[in-house]
Amino acid sequence: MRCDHDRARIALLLDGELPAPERDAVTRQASDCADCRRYQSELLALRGQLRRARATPSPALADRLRLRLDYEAAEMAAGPARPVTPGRRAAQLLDRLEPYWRAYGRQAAAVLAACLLSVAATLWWVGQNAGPGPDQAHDVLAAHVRSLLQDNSVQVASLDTHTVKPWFAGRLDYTPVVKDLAADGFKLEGGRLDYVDGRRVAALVYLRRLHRISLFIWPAEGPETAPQRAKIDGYNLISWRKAGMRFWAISDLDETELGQLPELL
Amino acid sequence: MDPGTAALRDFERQALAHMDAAYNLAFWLVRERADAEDVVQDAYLRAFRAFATVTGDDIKPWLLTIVRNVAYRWLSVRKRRTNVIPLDSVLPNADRDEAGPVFEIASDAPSAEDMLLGRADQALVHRALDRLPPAFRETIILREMEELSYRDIARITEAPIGTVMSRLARARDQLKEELTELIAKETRNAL
Ligand SMILES: [Zn+2]
Repeated sequence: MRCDHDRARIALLLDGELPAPERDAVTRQASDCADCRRYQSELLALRGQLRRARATPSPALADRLRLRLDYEAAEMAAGPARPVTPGRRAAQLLDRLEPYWRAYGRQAAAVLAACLLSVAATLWWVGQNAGPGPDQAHDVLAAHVRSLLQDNSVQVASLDTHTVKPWFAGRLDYTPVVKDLAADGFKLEGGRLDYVDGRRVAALVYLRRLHRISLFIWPAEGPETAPQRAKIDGYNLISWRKAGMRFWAISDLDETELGQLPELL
Repeated sequence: MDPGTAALRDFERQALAHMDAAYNLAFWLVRERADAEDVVQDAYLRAFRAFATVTGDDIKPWLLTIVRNVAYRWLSVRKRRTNVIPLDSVLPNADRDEAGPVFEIASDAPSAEDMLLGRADQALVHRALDRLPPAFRETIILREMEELSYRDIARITEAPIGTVMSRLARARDQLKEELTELIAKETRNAL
């Protein structure tokens, strides 16, 4: 590579960025001059090596994306008067999930089926009960189920409460209560952003033995309320308002144990 | 079909076509498969929410801009969490590191061409890419793997087009050098 030619032009040529009037001259240079020719074939060889090294996602990613987008679209479309259509949505999701099942096997399929049933059950339940907003119960259950579908249910893992709380700063316009409840048997696993009741909310994830608990927190005006409970298809839900915040806890944990949370927070 | 569903289908049709590109970029920025998939999911949700505001036919550069932003935010979170990613080398203004030695092959060494023309083990290519400063890495990935124009790369990486060109040239020089070295070492070990 000792010729005096401008080799940058060869790179431009290969990148399709060389102005048309110069293309012929540079193409000639790259074929007539041995040094330039070698330089060109190195660039092409490097390009080939890089293309072969492209990282490809797992086959399940497309289905997971579609599923999350479906939820997102449903949540965006849902106003205060969300039509309650039990069954139909779950059936659509089941259709969508088929490839995911194939990839993840029957055990995952069973879990998913249970999750989807419970979504349908909520839709039924919210039709029967007046509570802190039936849409909220739907969203809370959907968000919790969604988090169980992912490899990671948290976006920020907890080393202690000081890693989780600052993470929400700048992502939300309020600061959620983040408490270390390890001494009380609730291990803080981390936090994530989620979408409930038409807004981005903080979700904390606690573990009690093998049970995962999602705790959703967002600002809500009004007096303190006593915890309200519901049980849907194996999931326990508790909601209460305290210190200007709405809390929702959901888990497959026993309701007495889950019921300790409102007192601890 | 209601308007919401139509918007969703429209977004899926356009955006899912670029999923591999989104994942590849995310992977090379966060360097971890599970994290890269989370970045893609997060980015796609954001993109979907903002989709109505997008004009133009090719959403790939716009989508990759979102992926990149989400990936960098992840890196800063992970950095605070684990302290493994040197953040200042990740941020776009780390250009002072670009004044590295310019690569020149010694005349008696086996030529880079010979080395590069073979089919290198992918692990070697990955290792060579890993050694690039992140600003170089994302630039060459967007050009060589995603085949984007200089202009689109400039938009996505928020860098002037001249910077894109110099990063690309340096990334190529450095990659050729690293890869030639790694392949030579591998060949020696095999003998
Ligand atoms: Zn020449």
